[in-house]
This record gives sequence, C-alpha cells and structure tokens, in this order.
Amino acid sequence: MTSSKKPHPARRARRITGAVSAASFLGLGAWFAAHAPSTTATAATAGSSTTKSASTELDDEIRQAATSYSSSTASASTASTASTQSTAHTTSRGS
Amino acid sequence: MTHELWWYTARASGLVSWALLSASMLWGLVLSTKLRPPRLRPNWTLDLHRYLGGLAVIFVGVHLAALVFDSYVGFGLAELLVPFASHWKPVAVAWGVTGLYLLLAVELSSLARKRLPNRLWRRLHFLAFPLYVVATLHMLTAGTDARTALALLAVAAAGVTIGALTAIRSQALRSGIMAPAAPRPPAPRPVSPRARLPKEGALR
Repeated sequence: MTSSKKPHPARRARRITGAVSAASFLGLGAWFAAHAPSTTATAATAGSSTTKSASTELDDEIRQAATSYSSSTASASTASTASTQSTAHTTSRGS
Repeated sequence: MTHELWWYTARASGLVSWALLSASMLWGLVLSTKLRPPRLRPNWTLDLHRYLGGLAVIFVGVHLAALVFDSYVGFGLAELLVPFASHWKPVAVAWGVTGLYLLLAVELSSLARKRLPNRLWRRLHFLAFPLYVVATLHMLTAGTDARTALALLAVAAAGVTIGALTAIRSQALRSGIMAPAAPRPPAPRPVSPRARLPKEGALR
C-alpha cells in the first residue's frame, strides 16, 4: 500500500535544494578533476616545487628519448659489423 | 591524488557556499520586501531561507576542513581563524576569515532568536549584508575559478538582483510602508473550558 499523499511544499523545497547543492558540489569536484591543467597552471603561478619536479622529469624523459633516437640512427648508419662498444661511444658523444 | 582531491573539494565547496549564501540572501529579501508571489506562503519562504543558511554553514565547514587537509597551500587553524596570518594571498584569505565570523554571528543569533531581544536580533541579522559583500570579495580575490565567465556572470547577476531588492526594501522602510515589526504583545493565556463554566455553587 503506497500512500499518494504529496509531501509538504516546504519539505519538497528542502529536498530539492539539498539535492541540487550536493549535485553541484559533486559536479564541480568532478569537473575540476577532469580539467586538471587549470590546477597545474595555478601551481605554476605559485611556484610549486611539484610542478618544477614534474617538468624536470619531463625534460629528462625527452632527453633520454632523443639520446636513444640518435643512438639508433647512428647504429643504423654504421656497418652491420659494428660492435656494441662503438655504438656506446656514439651514444655518449651524441648526448 | 589525495591532496588534489582535497584541493578540488575546497574549491567546489567554496563555490557552493557562495551560491547558497546568495540564494539565502535572495529568499530573505523576497520575504522582507513582501514581493513574493501569493503562492509562496511566508512560513515556507522563511523555512527555505533558514535551510539555505544552514546548508551554507555546512558547506563552509566542508571548505575549511578541506583546506586543513589539503597540503598544497598548507593551511592550519591559525591561518583559517586569524586574519592576515596566511602567507598565501593574506588579504584575500582575510576576507574569508571575516566572512566566517560574520556568518557565525548571523546563524547563531538566528538560532537563538527566541531568547534575544527583537532589536538586537535585527541588528545582528543585518550583518548578512556585509557578510555577502565580504564573501563575494573573498571568492573573487582568492578563488581559483573566479575568473571564469560563468563565475563572473553569476556574481554579476546575484549582485544586481540583491542590490535591487535591497534598494526596494530600504526605500520602503524610508517611506514607512514596511515599518519594522513592533515587539509583539504577550499572548493572552489560554482559558480552559472548565474555567469558563460557572461554579457549581452558583448554579444551585
């Protein structure tokens, strides 16, 4: 048996307001998490060490990728009989 | 990820608190200017006004808790409770600290309204106007997302509406249309049905 009695308008207004507030809070939190670059920009403005370390790591990764690319190019251009030692030498020079 | 979660929580709860404060101000002004539609009964409007204020206090509490747990800015209790104690945007945070105290004054005086003289409660409740100004300044100066078009639009719309309603109310008060409510006289004591009956001896 379900009662068809409507809730009091004041109670309904409270429910709607509470639900809208909670949904806004969760939605905004999710939106901020999804648009994380804004946080990174803020951190960069504040001079955060986290951003600095992240950028340093990124630079290291780029440097390593460039090194491996140059070494592979160099090893491909040399003769197929080139030893591992000569490749290592080229790598150290290239970097 | 955890410290980012607290940072997002602080930002979201701050924005929701400001929106709830705006809505509570609007409902309070609708109630006091008597511009409400006839459908909206005064007790429902008052109930929603109080509920919005209570929700705003809860979300301000979430905002403060998230700032304490967040490790990005590094707020402690002193930075949250003492103006200009924060090294991060001290003026902007001071607006927020002032707003916190004004909000507590308005809410606590409303909770204790029955125990306070009407004039004192009214004066304390008028602190809602500086509270709204200070909260908006805090949002605009400290808020990470205050520069977005949506936030600026919301601030402008709420400011214009609240300003217009405040002007209407103050104009009506000056012209004497809406005089402040006089203290109510004490209600007559209820008379029991038995007391209305004549005494048994009088009937005989």
